[in-house]
Amino acid sequence: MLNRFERVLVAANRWVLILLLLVMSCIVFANVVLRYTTGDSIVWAEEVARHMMIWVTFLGAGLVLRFGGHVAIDNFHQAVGEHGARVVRAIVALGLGAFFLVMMYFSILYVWATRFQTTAATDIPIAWIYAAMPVGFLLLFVHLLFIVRGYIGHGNYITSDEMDAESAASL
Amino acid sequence: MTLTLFIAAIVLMTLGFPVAFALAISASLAVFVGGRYPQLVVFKEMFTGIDSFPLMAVPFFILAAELMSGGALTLVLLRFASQFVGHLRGGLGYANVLSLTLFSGISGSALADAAGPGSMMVKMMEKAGYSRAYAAALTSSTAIVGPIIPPSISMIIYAMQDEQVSVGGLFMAGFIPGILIALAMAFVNWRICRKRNYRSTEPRPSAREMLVTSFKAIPALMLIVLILVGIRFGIFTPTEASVVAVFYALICGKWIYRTLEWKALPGIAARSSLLTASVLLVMATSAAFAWVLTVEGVPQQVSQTIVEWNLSPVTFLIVVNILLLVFGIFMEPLPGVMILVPILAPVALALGIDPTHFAMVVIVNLTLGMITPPVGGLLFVTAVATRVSMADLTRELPPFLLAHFVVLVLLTFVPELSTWLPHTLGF
Repeated sequence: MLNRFERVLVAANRWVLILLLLVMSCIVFANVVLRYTTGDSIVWAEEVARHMMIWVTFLGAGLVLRFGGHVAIDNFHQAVGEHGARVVRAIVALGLGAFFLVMMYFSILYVWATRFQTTAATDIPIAWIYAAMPVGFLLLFVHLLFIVRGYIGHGNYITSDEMDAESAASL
Repeated sequence: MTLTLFIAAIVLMTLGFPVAFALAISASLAVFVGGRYPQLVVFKEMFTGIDSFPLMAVPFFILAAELMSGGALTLVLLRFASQFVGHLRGGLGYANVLSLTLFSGISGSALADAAGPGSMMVKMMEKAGYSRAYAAALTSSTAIVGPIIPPSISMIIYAMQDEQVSVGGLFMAGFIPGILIALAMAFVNWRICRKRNYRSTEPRPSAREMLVTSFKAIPALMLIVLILVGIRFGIFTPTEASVVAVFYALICGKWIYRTLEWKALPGIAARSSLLTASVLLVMATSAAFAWVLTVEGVPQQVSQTIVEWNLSPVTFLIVVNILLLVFGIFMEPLPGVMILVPILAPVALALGIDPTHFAMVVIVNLTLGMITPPVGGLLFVTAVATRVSMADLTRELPPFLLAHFVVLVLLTFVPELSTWLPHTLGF
């Protein structure tokens, strides 16, 4: 049951990211092409694409965590021995979990506080864009729960050829 | 607030919290302890930190490089590079340097260079009798040119932190330093190949062959021309150039080189969006971190103190270089650019240092951090991609690091190396 939930969530999360990135590229590209072919540009293109990028960032953060792609300095773990490292990693996991929940709570307040503002070009409530933050922190928390045992026990993440810490560090 | 901020950031990072979250947690704590601002300001700053059109060039250049780096395109560039230098002693080493340098004109990061053509080149070099550790060290040291030769993700982010410079100007400024680094790596290759007698078995290609290989490389090499000419003549902004690069890469891969299959596209997009998320999250959280610094007046205090010290521009540059080298040992270039540039760039300007020159010194210096052990991200990527142990790779590094250091000193003391080209082109 939990396994199935995890699989579905990861796949859905991944596909949403793929679509966001591809659609975002198409919008900006179409805008450039239109400007040179018809002299007109899509008024909302820039704004919408920018907001999609913000959604990519927060929706992607959880998956990146799952694959260990958030760059961290783990030299201290190696210095304190096997047992010590477990304790330190437990502290890190606890700290992150608490942080994600606190951030989720406050970002919901933030979204609520901005519910009457609208965006410049598309006139939609800006809360829809800010909503990326609570959703992102919720996903971060859920993905943390999925990996927490392997992480505390052995410092492991889920392996994937699409993401790892070293790739992120070399950008 | 500032004290809380720094102590929290250092403690959290040492404990092994991911850098992005360590920055966000310490910013939140500082706001909480300070008590003058509501907690919500952290979200506002994180949001504004990435709510930017120029920043969209980051995901697009990542996607373009991922589209380009698969399969045949890389091979085309390798053949193109090795036809000029392959027959010399140490020829494959030169070919490695040359193809990575050319590939830097397609990719905006060191990652794409090391993982793409780099790892392929290491295999070829090993087959030809080079030690694999040496080939890997050469690859990771040369992949550094990825973020220095345009397009470059570091430069896009730098230009967002310092309004004195533009993305276009930095792109032009990167050429000469990038080529200098490539020459320095080629020089090390020359020395070592002579010492170890790495001979070449490659025959010199015939003129006809060379023509065919070069012709095949044209579509790939046109990408950088397209980007630079487009930006220089105001045909498109850097962000638009990046999205044009995406579709150019798609067309090249799908219809010209025919190595890209539709079914590979979701994987490429997934990888690109995850890389994007990891970079932009650091960007967002360091915006919150930098905001706390700004409201506390830290940049002003630091600049005032430094100005009071009455340092000469040269001494200041030396101090900055040392600071950044130490910083780079522990941290990745991007958080470095985001946190240190708003503090240091105004001081440099006040001392009369050309902003473009300063930017190049900072970028080259921080990029070197990727190949300085123990936290050298690029070393790990190369080690994994080429199956060389970190210890072996590190043992081969010293001559390369020395050469990088010489180039850095040159860039520090000869501003024209960075400023001549952009100034001549009117940036």
